[in-house]
Amino acid sequence: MGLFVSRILESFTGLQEKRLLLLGLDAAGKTTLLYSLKLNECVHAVPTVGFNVEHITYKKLDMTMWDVGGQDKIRRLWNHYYRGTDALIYVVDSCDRDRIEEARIELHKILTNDEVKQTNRAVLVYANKQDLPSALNPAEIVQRLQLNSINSIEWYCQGSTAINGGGLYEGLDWLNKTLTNNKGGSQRGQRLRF
Amino acid sequence: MFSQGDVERAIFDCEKQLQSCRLRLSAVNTLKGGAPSSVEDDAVILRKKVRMKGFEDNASLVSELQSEADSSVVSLRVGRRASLSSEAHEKIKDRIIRTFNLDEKRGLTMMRENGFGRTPQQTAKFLLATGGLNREMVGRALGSFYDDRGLESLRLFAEGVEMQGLPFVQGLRKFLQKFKLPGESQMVDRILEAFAKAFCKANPQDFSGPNAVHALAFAVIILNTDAHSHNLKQLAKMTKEQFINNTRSIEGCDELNPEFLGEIYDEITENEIVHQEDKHDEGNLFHDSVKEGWMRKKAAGAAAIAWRKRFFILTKNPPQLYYFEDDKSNDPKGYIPLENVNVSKSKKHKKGLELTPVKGELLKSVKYSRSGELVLGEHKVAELKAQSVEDCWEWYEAITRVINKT
Repeated sequence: MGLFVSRILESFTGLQEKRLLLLGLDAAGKTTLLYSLKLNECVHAVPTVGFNVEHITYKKLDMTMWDVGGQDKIRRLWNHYYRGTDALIYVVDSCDRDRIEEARIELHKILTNDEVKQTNRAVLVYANKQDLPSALNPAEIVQRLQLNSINSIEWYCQGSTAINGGGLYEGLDWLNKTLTNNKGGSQRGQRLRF
Repeated sequence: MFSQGDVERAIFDCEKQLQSCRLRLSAVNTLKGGAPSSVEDDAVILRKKVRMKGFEDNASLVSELQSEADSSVVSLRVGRRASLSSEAHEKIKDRIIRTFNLDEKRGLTMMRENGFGRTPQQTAKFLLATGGLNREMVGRALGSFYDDRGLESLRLFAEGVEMQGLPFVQGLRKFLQKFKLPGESQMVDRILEAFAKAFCKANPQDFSGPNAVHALAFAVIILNTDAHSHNLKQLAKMTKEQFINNTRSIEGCDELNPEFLGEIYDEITENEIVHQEDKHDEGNLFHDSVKEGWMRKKAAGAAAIAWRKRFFILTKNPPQLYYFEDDKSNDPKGYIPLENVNVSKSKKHKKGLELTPVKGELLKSVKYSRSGELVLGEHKVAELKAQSVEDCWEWYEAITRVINKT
């Protein structure tokens, strides 16, 4: 029934409902990014005690983004949300050279999760904090995260500055194109922008 | 040479003055910050007088009096220092609270620098028990603790919440009332881990160990978000069965009774975990307000006169009238102390009230600047307009009662 309603809606509005997960190590800039995208939209007065979750509409995408994360021992609790995910947004602190390896391991762990693998079609990596002089550039992030080894899904690395919204919409444009292109496999990987 | 009568009279004078010194000393100590300098001056004068009169005949008596006067001066000094430092202490604390409520990181640094947060014990106690701290900022501060010291503060904070004998969900609800849980997953994770350890310490028989409680609490927060967040569509709610299976997929939680988990599911989906910002929480300045509501306050700027709509809270202890930007704000824009103040109905406006000083020209009032510093107001009168004539009478009576109590 739900699917039926959303199909009807889709035929009228062209909107496609997508489920996205927002991931990344702590302090990578996830929260800032989420709220930069929400800028100028109404924020509810009494926010729920719970995780950051936002509903964002952009072009043809009607997205629900969850900030998921935490230590390994509770990680499986997110499986419920990994199931049925259309795409991942992975935020990396481009300045934190010490933890970039941790970020790589984390990303590849998520991508090989059985639940994620079933429906996930794309991963958008934001190489965040590009405004800082010590930031690795997106090309370096691609290399450090070994994005070139991903061949099952599409990926894209976008430089971003979440605090002022820089680069965020360019990334969403890519997602929009990739996820609404039903034929799939238009341009696989190997793309990045500054 | 003096006669015996002179000496006795002089001694009597001395003793009387000493007595008044002592009285005032105790007054200084209790009231802190009375007028300690004048008391000390008295003691100095007294000592001089004793010396000048030169009671050679009663040398022992004189020296006794002198030493008493000396010690009186010393204790006055000590008293003054103590009263000053406790006053300064309060001022610094007030500044820390203001700063913290604007920027928790700066607040934490100030706490450390001023002896309120040197140890994890102090930090935990300050965050848990200081009235007037913005609870959202407390949540952010707790979430930002990740090093050993910070985690220790977080642990002590969690242990400071009394949870003994409470069932799991109630314990979690109580814990989450002490601060607004931040929404970032890693922060939630660390905070709930501390909760789990504290809960198990208080209720060792309830669960197999902190790992299960940690995962269960995390699952409950996911459920609370899933069931109640306004940002999620109605379509994709987690079902009871999904919740039970999802939670039991965690090691340690697999032994939890599905019925028990089902009850938790029902309770959380029916009764959302909320955190109301705490103008009314215990320990907060505004929790026992006498009256609150909207009034218009006349702002006499340089260019034009404007009646600004503000939310007011009248407190009895201290007797003060606070005003806020609106009823959602947690920090007042300023306040008017109601000591030595008259309240009267305005002659110009039917719904108007006026606050004027009993003595002197200027009405004391205080504003908080953007940086959180206090700025003294310089007005002769504060003019207010209530929402209706009845409301105006209610405010008039409430303010009068508060003034008469002081």
